[in-house]
Amino acid sequence: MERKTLTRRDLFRVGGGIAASGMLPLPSFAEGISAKPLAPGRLGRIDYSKAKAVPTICFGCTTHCGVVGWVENGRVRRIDGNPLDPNSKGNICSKAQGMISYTYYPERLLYPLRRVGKRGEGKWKRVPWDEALGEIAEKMRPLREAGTPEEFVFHYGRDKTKGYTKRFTNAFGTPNRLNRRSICSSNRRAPLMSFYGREFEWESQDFENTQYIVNFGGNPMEAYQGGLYMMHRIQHARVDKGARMVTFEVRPSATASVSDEYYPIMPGTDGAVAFAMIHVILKEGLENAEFWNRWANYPLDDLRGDVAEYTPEWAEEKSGVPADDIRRIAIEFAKAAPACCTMSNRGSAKHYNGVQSDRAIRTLDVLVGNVGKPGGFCLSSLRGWAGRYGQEGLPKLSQPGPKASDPMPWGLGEGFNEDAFRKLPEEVQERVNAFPEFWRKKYFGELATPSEYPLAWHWYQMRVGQLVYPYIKESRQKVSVYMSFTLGASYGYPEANLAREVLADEELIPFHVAVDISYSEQAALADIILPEATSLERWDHHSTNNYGLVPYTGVRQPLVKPLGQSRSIQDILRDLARRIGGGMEEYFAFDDMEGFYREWYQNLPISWEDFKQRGIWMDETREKDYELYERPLTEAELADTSVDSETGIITQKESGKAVGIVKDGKSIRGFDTPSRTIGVYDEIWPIAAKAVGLPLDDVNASPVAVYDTVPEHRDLPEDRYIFTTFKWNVHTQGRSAHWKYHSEIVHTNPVFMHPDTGAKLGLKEGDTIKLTVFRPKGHTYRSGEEGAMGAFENHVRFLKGVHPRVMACSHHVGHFEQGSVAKAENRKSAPEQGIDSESKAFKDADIPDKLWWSREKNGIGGGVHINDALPINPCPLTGGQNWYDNVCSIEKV
Amino acid sequence: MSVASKKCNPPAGEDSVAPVYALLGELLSREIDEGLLAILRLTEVKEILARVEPDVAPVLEEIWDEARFEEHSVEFCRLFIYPGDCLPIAGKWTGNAEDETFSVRRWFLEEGASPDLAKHLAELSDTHVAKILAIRAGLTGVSEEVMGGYENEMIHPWRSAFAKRLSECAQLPVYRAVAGILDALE
Ligand code: SF4
Repeated sequence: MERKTLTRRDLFRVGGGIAASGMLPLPSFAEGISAKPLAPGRLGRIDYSKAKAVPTICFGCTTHCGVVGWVENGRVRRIDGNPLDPNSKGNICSKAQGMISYTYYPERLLYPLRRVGKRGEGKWKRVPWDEALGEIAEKMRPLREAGTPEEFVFHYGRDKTKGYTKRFTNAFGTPNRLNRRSICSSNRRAPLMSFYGREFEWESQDFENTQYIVNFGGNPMEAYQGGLYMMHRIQHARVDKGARMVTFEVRPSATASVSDEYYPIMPGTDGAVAFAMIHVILKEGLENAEFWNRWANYPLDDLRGDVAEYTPEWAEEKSGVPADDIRRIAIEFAKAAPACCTMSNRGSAKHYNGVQSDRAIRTLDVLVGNVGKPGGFCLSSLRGWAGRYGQEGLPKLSQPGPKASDPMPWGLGEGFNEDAFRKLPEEVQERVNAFPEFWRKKYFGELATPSEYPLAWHWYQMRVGQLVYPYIKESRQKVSVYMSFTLGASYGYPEANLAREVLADEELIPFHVAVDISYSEQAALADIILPEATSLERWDHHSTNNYGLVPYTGVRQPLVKPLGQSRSIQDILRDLARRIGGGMEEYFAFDDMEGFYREWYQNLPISWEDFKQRGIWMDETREKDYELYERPLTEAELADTSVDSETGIITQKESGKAVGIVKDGKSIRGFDTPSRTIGVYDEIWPIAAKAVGLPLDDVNASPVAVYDTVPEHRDLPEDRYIFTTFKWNVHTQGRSAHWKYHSEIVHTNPVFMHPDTGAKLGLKEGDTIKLTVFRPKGHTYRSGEEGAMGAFENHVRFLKGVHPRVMACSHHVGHFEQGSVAKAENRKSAPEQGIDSESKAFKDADIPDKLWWSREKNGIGGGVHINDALPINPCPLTGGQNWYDNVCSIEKV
Repeated sequence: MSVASKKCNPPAGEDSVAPVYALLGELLSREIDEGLLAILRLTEVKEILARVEPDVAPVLEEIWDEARFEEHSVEFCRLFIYPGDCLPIAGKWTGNAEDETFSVRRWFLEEGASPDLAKHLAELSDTHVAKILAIRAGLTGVSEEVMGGYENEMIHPWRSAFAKRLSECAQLPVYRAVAGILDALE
């Protein structure tokens, strides 16, 4: 810039001119305020005598720990744990401070923006809220008036409003409230619900009292929802009480590293190890036959027959885990019963055979009779407090009314939305018409309830998020207005490029509104961006499963006012509903958001002010949730019921719902399944297979757990590897790359491989490789298509402990939006720099004041985006994304 | 320091420059509207803008229709909001955007109070350059020591780098002129 010199006199003249015009008032200060500059530098130390401690619920990740925020002079300065939280017991992880980072992120979205150029071009202008909401309402209202509200799609990435967004979509009349569960945990939830019923899609092992844990690919140290609650209990049990943890994993995760034993396992073979353990336990006579015969709905002898061939030697061949170790672990596990438990999550479940692997793992617990026992595999009340199973005696908490009812299911006949149904492709209509009645009543179109994946919505709507964009592209369902809410699909979904392609296409998606706190890859493709308040600035109801086995509730409350013009999602949807009108406003007739939440909790036995001060409430005198299934039914529960003389199932006459079971002449609760027993055998799998034409010999069609090799992994050529992704403990998937201090710790994603593998490939640390991912096999979306799906270049790191057939790479860096911290320098990683601790990048004297990892600073850059190369690969029936099945090849660049 | 409410006219003398800070604060915090345009068209202002950026003179002479305002709104958004090519956060221009060194709140921490700013300024982050400049405009009447301290500590460290970036990024002359004025403030 060529510098023009202006004199002080010049500036005086300008100042004088402006002052004389009277057009520009100067800011003023109230009388008596003294400005005492502090010493230069960062904000001073927190003055705890003046700072206010406000409890709330963390949203650094989905674990949702109770925390306390220190607020000083209107700014949140620090996050501590809330010791009243029975789950976290006052512990927090580093990501909690991330809430401060994302709240005060300099590039945070603070104003409603309207696109000016072409969609995705990056040209915006600010618009007032009135204008933004007015424009959205103008687009949405006609859909409702025309009787096609389903053309409005609400798609969220992380919605913890506990039903508030549903209040909006129901009031509007659309069933299309979509999520991302299928790319996360649906494959581990489905087996749990098949075994234990709808209320138990998540378990609560009694880690505090356990003696032995067998972990199949769960990674609570880094990634697991509830991981923090689990890990401090596990470590306490291990370190202070002598418990043992055995971990089967494909790479040495942080959890593997704190386990007593770690076995690198061939991906997708967890089920083989579990079956071999069942085999050994039965062979050694270590099963708990009494428990099994009382509660499993499958004859023990049949199980014995099923696993006859699943010997430890067979499992060793499949998994690489030594047979002797499998044998020993099985015996140790069974001998510790009932104070033993299994643990599994995406590592075992996100495979083509993952549902069945998890069913085999769940069978282990039933076999040794640890279910619901101290130290065992327990089940505890989960969501909301609405008097459901396990919530008896708790105060009822519910979102204040009035609330609109659910939309009608789609189909033919009375009580169905025929118009919407008839617009679906004929083939879909035929499939749905042939569905059993219980599914027809749950069908709401292809986006919310894809007909090819009925077990994605059989228990409840888990949906198949990764198919939303392909389905829109194929015109399976028309979308007129699409609202993304904190969704990172165009960055983080498999084939994210397809999401971007569809979002950029104004014919497929005529109007896109993004609600977010940062300018994400998703927001970049919107027509209007609405800035959302962060978790430190808004209300939410909170309840979750407690690993301490006593239900509790908490409240997320605003610590500070929303920055700039950002607004909470609750405020946004309320104000939008009022603008849309047509009766919607009746469900949003409240101005005072705190009053709304106060009413939500009105049945708690403490005052609202007390509750806000504690942040958490729990009935300390309540018994732990051990053996819920053995609890006798109360008089009230038995009223107006009948008993099936053959099965003993107790059914409510009016609703036809099973509520308990007679055992030894006593009416007890049993499990929350239709049979009131544990669904080791479940016909729903073959029923679903038949309904969608999946061959009955497919692993997913079996009514009991079976093992089959992942289709892509059969006869895996020597030069092919299995590509696996993972997450680091300082990040929350792709959402946290803009948290400065967390990205300072992890900002890149080399491909990890075993040193022997590297040597075989002629590689050395830091070399750049091209990793090509191939299309999936088996009965999945676009079955039959072959060849490469995509590729990326990255550098390699060697790590002993990675399975020799595995290439492991984290998937949440390499952003191309999300601001300067997240982007760092988004080019190919520099193999020659930042690989080892001697490199220049690690010695940068500017740490921590600059983005020292950026390429401009001779750093390694911001990592490689890999999600375009990963194929959409939904598991048959459940639709869970088979993230960890991908086969890849490696070329040195 | 005790600062009385200011009227439009600053006291004559050394702080006649306060309205310049106020104007910069406005231009960096909101889109140009009729009111701001009128100020830019004041003879004294126009002259000085044209001195640092000659291309601005004809633009200010033109009739500004809706499209002209919109063009400037889009440019404003591109530079200062999104994608924020010239992010107006002070710390960014000294190396760490999250640095609180330049927080105006820090200056008023003792009393836990904040100056009485217009809403569009008040809602900005405490390290937003527009807020920092606006506060400077309100500091008239304080001792030279406090004033100098504020300028040296809160404005000068980021001013040149930010002005340079703005000058490079801005596609419209008005914003290049803003960069020029900012750079000339000593
Ligand atoms: S685990 Fe960490 S980030 Fe997640 S909720 Fe708890 S403290 Fe927050």
